[in-house]
Order: sequence, then structure tokens, then C-alpha cells
Amino acid sequence: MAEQKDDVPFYQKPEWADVVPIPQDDGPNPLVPIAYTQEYSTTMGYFRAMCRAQEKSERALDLTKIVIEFYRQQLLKELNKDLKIELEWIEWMVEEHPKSYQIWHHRQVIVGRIAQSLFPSITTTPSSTPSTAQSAEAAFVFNDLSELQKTTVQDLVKSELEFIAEALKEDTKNYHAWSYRQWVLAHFGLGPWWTGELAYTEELLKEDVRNNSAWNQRYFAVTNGSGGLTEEDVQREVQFAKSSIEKTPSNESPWVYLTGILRKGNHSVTEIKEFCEGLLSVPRANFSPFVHATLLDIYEVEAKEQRSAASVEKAKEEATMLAEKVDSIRSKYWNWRKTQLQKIDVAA
Amino acid sequence: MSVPNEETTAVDASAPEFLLDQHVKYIQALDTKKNDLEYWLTEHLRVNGLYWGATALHILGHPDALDQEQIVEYLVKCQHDNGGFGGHIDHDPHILSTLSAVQILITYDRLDAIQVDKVVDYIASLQNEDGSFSGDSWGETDTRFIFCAINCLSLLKKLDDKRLDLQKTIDYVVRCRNFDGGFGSSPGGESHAAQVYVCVGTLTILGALHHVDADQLGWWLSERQLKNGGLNGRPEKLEDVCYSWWVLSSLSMLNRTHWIDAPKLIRFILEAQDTETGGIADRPGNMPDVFHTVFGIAGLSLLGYPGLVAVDPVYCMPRHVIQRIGLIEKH
Repeated sequence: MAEQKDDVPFYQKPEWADVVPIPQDDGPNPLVPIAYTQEYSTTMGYFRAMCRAQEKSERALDLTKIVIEFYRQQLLKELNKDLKIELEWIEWMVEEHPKSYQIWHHRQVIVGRIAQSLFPSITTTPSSTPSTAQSAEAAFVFNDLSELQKTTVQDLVKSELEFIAEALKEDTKNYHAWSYRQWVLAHFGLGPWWTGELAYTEELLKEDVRNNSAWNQRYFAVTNGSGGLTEEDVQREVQFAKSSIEKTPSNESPWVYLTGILRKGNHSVTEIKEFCEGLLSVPRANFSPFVHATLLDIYEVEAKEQRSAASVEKAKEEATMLAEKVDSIRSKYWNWRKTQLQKIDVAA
Repeated sequence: MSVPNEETTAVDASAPEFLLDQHVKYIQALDTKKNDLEYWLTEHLRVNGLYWGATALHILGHPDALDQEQIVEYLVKCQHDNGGFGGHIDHDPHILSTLSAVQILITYDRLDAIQVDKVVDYIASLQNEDGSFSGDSWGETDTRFIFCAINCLSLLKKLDDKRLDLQKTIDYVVRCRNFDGGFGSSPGGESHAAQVYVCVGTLTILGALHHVDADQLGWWLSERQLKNGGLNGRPEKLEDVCYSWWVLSSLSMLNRTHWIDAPKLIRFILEAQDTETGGIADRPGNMPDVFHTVFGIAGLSLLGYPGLVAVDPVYCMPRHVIQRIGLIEKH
């Protein structure tokens, strides 16, 4: 309590000397004897005395603050116990029914309530959805918390992320598990838990580089975790995507990730021109539709920026390659791209 | 009443034939299987199941194959005092079953049987502060529920209800758009073809499709087609007949259906038909169910398969019904 800056309990202070506390009467053999702390019992004794005397004073007002805090903590203990049992039950349910979205939502509600009960002094608007961290009304600002609070919230987030990781071991693409993971990360605001996501997604992608959910999560973490995408992030992620592409050049996910990161970081797709052209001489890569599709994008941008007829021609060659050889199932799309190239105004 | 498809696609002569009569019988038989465990396990989806069955029959050109009076009577019993519909009698109301009930009643032109204003009250009560909608009073939020709400209100011509903030809904859906051009269930959620359908559908109904990069999203949707002609819902996932609907309807709203290989997709859907029982499965060789049956048939209709009644890509109801209630010029 802010009012109790010293260590002396209020009832040992002179202004309380005239009050005789009234002890709790549970009857001779209470059904469920509650082991109250001495301080709690004493405080409640003074509170009963105030109530019986109907005293209306400054000290009575001060006491209500203390009592409410005590009562809240008492509730918290009881509540927390129940909520933890609830979490265990959910854990079992998730093992049995990993794709039941109701059960994932239920866990989200319970953890939201635990978070609220842990930080009662902070008014929260519990968000119903995993908003991105940038726009989330987080429960609190992590850096403003006390050391004890920091440890508590970190433990809670950690245990939730571990729980979700277990479920994802069974099905790495479980949509509800990923949704809930994003909610946990964002609900507690910008905290140290975000940095672990890079290592976690890297581990999942090492196991299966074609796991699109892990790529999406990596994008979510990189663009939200530190409050925005830095230049350093862009450079690191471009390298990460490129090395994945070299291993599986026909894998859609790292290509979309690479161009997505570049766009988000205000970089031009033309910056990966050499990388893409280099792949053309790699036997497996030169049949990847994504190598040609990205080169088509690059030459199209060049053609527009430089009004270059030569770039239009190169782009057309890529579109033809895609429509006729490496991606004929989408030939109508690639042929449409070709018609768009013809509209580019080039220098005479 | 039924309006056949105006545009039809040439069908590969070597593709299996479409088993129209068998599909009608398959759907008619569903409600008679009350001794099957399956029937009771899907109780919570009974209203949705009726929507899938009734819609499939309408697209097949057999609108009277189910007992309409019996269905309307049943649906009335599923409506709660708060206006929402449960998935079955005495089941809690949910926005999914509410939309299905309204879709069936409008298809049969029997909206008079229920209290429409109460449905609107129910849906309005589910809008959240951020513009999204919850699925029910438990508060779970998903872009699917937004679409259910907007779709239902649009069908009921109640989008102008003063309690709603539709600009916030648009803003929320736009926040669910991803770096690959697709949409997820919530901001940051992985792009998924079914979520793309509900988000593009919502933006179409609300006249806000300009928020979508149609070329980027059109390409992402086209990428869902695999070598065997089938469509998947996310990169590196298996093809599934139901994505014939989620992907195709989205491409249709973006006017880019022609970007994929239609004959190959038609063949894939036809090969997923069960030649013994009728009905369509998720992929060739599997057991059929009414969910994949309607979305396979609706997909074929969107592709202009001959002999089918035209389906509306936004509402997934017969196009002539959407015309009848005056919503067709909106998209």
C-alpha cells in the first residue's frame, strides 16, 4: 500500500490504540477451518470493529483500502488455484481434441483472466483477438513492472509457449495453436518473449523448411516483436530466406517471405536480381517457377523505372518460360502478365 | 425459376461423367440415416448440414427434393429468444447456424416464418469494440464470424442498422491482410483460402474491395492449384475439393477465375465423386460427405459446368435467389 510506507502495521500506530478488534467467529467446529495469516485476521478484526461502531472517519476509510487489497489477494489465491486446475484440464482436452477451436479459445480466456488477476492494479481491456503488438492494447508495459511482476509474467508466457509448442509437435500447422500463440505474444505486449520466436521458428524450419505456418510466424515476430522492422532485421532475414531458397528453390514460402520482407523494409525487389540470376545456373533451381516469377517482377520494375525496352524483352522471356515450360498450369496468368508488359512506355 | 449458367466451359471428354441423379439421392438419404452414429455426432451442425444439402439440391436443379415445410418448421424451433439460431433444437445459438438458417429460409422464400428483427438484434450484439464479430456470447473472434454477420445482415437488408460500425469492420478485415496478399483469421494469422473467401466476401458486400491488391491475391490464389488440378488452402498442404469453393469464389469476386486451369480442376472434382453412393469426397478415393458435396458442386457451377444452376460467388446461394432479393447488382 502506498499509504503504508514504513513497516509498522497500521494497528500498532497510536491513532488505532482505542479500537478493540473483534475476532472472527467460525463457531466451535468450523466445517472448513481457514488458516488465515495473523495479519489478515487482525486486520479483519479491526474492520469488524469499525463496521459494528458504524465509524465514519479518515482512519476507517484508510482501512477499507487495506481490507479490499487483502480480500483481493485472498480471492486471487483461491482463483489462481482453480484457474490452474482449469489449465490442466484444457491441456488434457487439447491432447484429445487438438483441432477444437472452442478449447483453444477457452484457454485464451482463462489465461487472460489469470493475467488480469496477477496485475489487478492495471486496468486492462482484454482483447478478444491476437492483435499485432503494434496496435495491441497490452495488459501493461513490461518495462514498467516490478522485478517480481516481470518474473511472474515471463514465467506465465514461457509456460504457455511451451504448452503450445507441445501441441505443434503433433501438428506443426495447427491453425488454432498458431492463433493462440500470436495472441499470447501480443497480449502481454512488448516483452523479452518475442526474441525466442526467431530461434523457435528457425528450429521448426530446420525440421521442415516447407512449413508455411512457421514462415508466417517468423514474419509476425520480426515485424512486431521489437516494435518494428529494423534495417538489421531486413538484412538478417533476407539472408535467412536466401539460404532456405538455395536448399529448396521451388518452395513458395521463403520466396513470398523474402519479397514480403523487402517490401515491408522499403527495399526494391531489384536488390535480389543477382541472387535470382545466379540460381538460373543451378540445375535444380532453374526449373523453379518462383525463380522465374521473381525475375519477371524484377525486370518489370526495371522496365518501368528505366523505360528500358531490353528489360521488357527479358521480362517477356520469363513470362513465356513460365507459361510454356515451368508453370503451364497457370499459363493464362502468365500470358496476362505478358499483356501488361506490352503497356509499359519505353524510351524510343 | 432456375437460371442455368450462361457461360459454360468445355469439358475434357475423357473426364468422368457428373453423377447428378446419384448426388440428389445421396443428399435426400442423409436425413434418413438416423441409426448411424455419424448422424448424432454431427448434431451440432444439423442446421449447417441442411444449408449444405438444400443449396446443393438447388444448384443441381432439384429445389423440391427435400420437404420444405418440414425444414422451415424445424428451423423455427432452432431460433432462441435472443434471435440467434442453434445448430439444432436446444443447442446454444451461434452466428454460423444463424447464417445457415437465414440462407435456407431466403432460398425457400420463407423469411416470414421467423422474427427477422430479433436476428438483427442478435447479430448486432456480437459486434466487438474493434469492429470484429464474435461467434457467440463466449466471445471467440474470427474473420469467419465477421463474414457470417455481414453476409446475414446483407441478406436481411439490415446493414444500415444504427448499432453497427461497419467502417471499423472494414478496418479490422484490412488489418488481417498479410504480406503474401492473403488473409488470416485475425491480424497476423496465416493466410488460408477459406479466410481469404470470408474476408474478400465481407469487403465485397461492404463495397470495400479496393483495399485488396487483386493481382497479388489473384496470383496467391492461383498458386493454390496443384499439378493434379486440385486446390489447396495453404502452401504445401494437400488439395481438397472444398477449396474448389473457397479459392474459386474468391477469384470470381476478383474477376480472375480464368487464371487457373479450369478443365483440370473440373476433372479433379469429378474424380472425387463416389460412384456407388453418390456424393463428393475431399479427394478421389475417400468417403463422401455433404460438406464436400455442396462445395464441389458449387465449384463446378462457378466453372460453368453444363447443366447446373448458377451459384452466387459471394453468398453461396443460387444466383436467381440473390437476383430475386435484389442484391445482384451490388457485385
